[in-house]
Amino acid sequence: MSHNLPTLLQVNNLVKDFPIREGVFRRVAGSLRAVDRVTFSIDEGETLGLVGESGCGKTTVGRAILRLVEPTAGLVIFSGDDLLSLSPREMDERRTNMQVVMQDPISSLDPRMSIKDIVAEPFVAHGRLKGQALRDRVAALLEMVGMAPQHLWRYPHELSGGQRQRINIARAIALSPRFLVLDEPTSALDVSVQAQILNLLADLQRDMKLTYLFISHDLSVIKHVSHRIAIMYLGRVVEIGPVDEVYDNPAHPYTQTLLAAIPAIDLDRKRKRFLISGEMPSALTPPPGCHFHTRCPLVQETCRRVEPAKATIGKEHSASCHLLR
Amino acid sequence: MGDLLLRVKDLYTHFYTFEGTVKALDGISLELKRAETLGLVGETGCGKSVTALSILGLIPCPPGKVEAAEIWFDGVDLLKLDKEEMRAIRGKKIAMIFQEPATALNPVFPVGEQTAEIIRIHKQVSKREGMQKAVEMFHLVGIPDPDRVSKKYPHELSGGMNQRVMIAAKLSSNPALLVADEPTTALDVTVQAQILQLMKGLVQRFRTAVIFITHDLGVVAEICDRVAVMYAGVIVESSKTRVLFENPRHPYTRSLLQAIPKLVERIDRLPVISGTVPSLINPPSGCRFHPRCSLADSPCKVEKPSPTSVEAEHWVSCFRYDQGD
Amino acid sequence: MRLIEVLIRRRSSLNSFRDTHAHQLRELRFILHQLRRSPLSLAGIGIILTLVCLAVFAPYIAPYPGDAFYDMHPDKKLLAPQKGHWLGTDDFGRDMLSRIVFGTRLSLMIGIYVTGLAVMVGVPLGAIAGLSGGRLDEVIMRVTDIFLSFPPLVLAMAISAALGPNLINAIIAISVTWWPWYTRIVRGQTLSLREQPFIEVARALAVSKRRIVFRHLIPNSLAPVTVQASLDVGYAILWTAALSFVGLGAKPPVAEWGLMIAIGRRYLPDSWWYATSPGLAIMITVLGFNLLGDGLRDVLDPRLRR
Repeated sequence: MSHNLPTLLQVNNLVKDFPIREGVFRRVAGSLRAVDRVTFSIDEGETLGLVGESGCGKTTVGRAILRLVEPTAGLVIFSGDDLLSLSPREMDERRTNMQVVMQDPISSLDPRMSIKDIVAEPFVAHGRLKGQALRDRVAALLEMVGMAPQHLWRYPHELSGGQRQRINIARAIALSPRFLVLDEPTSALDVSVQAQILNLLADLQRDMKLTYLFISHDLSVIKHVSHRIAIMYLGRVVEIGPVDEVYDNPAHPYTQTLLAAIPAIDLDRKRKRFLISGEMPSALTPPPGCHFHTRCPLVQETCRRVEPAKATIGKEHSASCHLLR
Repeated sequence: MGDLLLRVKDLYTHFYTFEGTVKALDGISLELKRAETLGLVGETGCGKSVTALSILGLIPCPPGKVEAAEIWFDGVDLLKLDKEEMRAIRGKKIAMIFQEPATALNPVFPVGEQTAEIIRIHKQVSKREGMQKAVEMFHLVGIPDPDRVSKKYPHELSGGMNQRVMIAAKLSSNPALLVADEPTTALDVTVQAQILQLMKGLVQRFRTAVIFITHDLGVVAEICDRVAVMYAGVIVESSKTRVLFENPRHPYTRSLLQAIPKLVERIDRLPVISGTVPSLINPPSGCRFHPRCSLADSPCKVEKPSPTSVEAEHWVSCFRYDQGD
Repeated sequence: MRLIEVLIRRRSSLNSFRDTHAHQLRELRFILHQLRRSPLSLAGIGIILTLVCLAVFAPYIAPYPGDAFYDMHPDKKLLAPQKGHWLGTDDFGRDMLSRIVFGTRLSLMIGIYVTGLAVMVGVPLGAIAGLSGGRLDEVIMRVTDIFLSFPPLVLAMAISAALGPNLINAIIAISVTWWPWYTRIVRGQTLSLREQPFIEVARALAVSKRRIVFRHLIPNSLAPVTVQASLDVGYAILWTAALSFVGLGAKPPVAEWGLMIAIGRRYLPDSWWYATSPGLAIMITVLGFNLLGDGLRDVLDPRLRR
């Protein structure tokens, strides 16, 4: 897409293990690898779509980048800063540049706070604005996300789902960040509301030159919003590339099955019926070799033993599958 | 008309709440033939679940109140039945499955035992025979290794597996009507595709009629013979599935279809429906969609449109359905 | 002309109050609506309002205000209830009704002080324990366990005896046995709130820990605390009366209900009214706060919300 733009975020071999505690004394008995050596980069002004089924680790990737959970290993370079080497205080200073919008619009808002206080919180927390200036700014933000100022005095439970997500977005862009992690921002919304929110996010990206990491399980939404997409399966990125190329030419068998499984309203869309059996294995006991081999229709002997290396398919398009070499 | 299974005429359901009377359903009429799958589709709060619950006599009153000219099911007027008779019908001839199978299953009994229990309610068989039949049903719904799975507890199984158990348990009484309320919404796409495929096969095999409630038009396209689109407590359009997607006539149906991000074409902005879903305490006069409709005219504000036949088996509740091309 | 302008302005400012406080007004209406449907909690509110009126206007309501303090009437000793002394008189000839009315004042103050102290200590500790987790959580919770493992009345008596028996020390002693309950409630609330996305978003916004505790965690844990506190006011009154009864609280001639029962007990059964009337006063008060607490539990129950 935007090849001449500088890279804003570089993620290298990101790993997140969650300890598993057992027994009365909560002893660490093992670990669950939620994110397994994930690597990607996002250019300035670009949207990277991160797709996968529930439990594949996509949400953890977003939270680990923002250090809402501490990554176990890897490198996260944001605008030249190595985020994982920063002290908590230094990290807090960088947080104004990177924000998050989460899936469930209602539980992302403190039910005891008015909309005014919710949107003002970033400024108050950073001691940036006060009094009338703050009130004006909050009203302006509400307008930016398409809400009338009389909502200032309302409380989250009085708003509709779409309005709540607008408030979440207003709070996220309050400090003029450069980068947003959008974690399933429209999954809890109805289609007609989803369309409004997707349009709003597109407008904001253009006007504020925002860079997005858009996490979703919905392939139609991802297709609509992303420039490039990365597909995750059981903690690993199995395929990454420009969105049109991946959709037209899915290389990894998992991507192919995923695309085939979407119930689509374009009834005449040509597609192979390519149903896979079974479900994603638990991350507690990941299968050896290629994680997908337990369900892959094209599985071979090597797949069960050896983890596939990344194979280049086209410009910026690569996938990890033994069949591609 | 010997094939008719269910006929609902002028169904009105109201809820009396602290805020006022919620007019949840405003004259719903529908018909369902044997072995037919009807999709009831619409956005949150449009009344699709309330419709099903009203038919099944599961609306708690107070605060609810169900009124209808007729709810005819397989030769019986359900409105005339007392609670006990209604319960008998619900167990034997009508079955229900829900979005969260895990909450519908009892967490402290193995799934096989629970299924056998349900089977024994309908068929006078011994415990052993019940268990055998349960394992048979598990096999039928594609549960791998049904003997082993039948001894597991719901929390030990995945969402997709629990949903299969539910389907097995509910179809064991060979009901004439299956009400499925968002049965695949909580599942991943690949698992959803499996469950839809399974339901399609079983429904054909047992000649079960299905009311399939969903917000996902893609799922409708996948599994339903006919669709009824609901908006704010009214069925605005109903037709054969294919016809609805190829030739939608109601302005709401059209906008809804346009608001879904498509996999094939790529557009920058999604067309949206202006405004928000109206309050059902003070619903708009006339056509409930008129405040958001681009075609609305003066009669739309005053008079409630009744279903008009556009072509065979295609009804639209709109005064101006022929205006929008 | 000008008058109309003023009226319009008044009206518009009224409107804006309605706008800005629409939520609070709605909330209030909702609470009233819920309470209306539960006659028992209304009775509780009625009792408490009556008690508050008695306490506030005690000098005007009591027929012999002086009798609550140092007045003595040796000629009227132990009179049975009669005209002029509706609840009889005590062993110093003091009017029981007056002493009970003034006792209300004292009891409500005790109840509020004890509960207030317990809440002020217990709530922040619970929020801090729940949010921080780890070692600090362990330390705080083990300390509360130690406090909760003593029979509370015995502990309160021990503390009161150690500090020296008087009313203030009795209040302190009871508060000391009381705060761990609030720590437990709030910690439990905090543990579930901590996982809520809005707390995570606050962390992503670099909101300080202090602000998270006081602006997010505590306000969101207050519903069960309010219920518990309203029940506890009644129990605190009961317990202080118990301490006074065994001689570890109020000292004569203070008009304290527990103390009055303790002395009145000596004149049973002949002067039955002496011990009975303060006993009834305690019972009604505790009942009132219990009814209120149960009513609040229903009103604040999130399951009743849409």
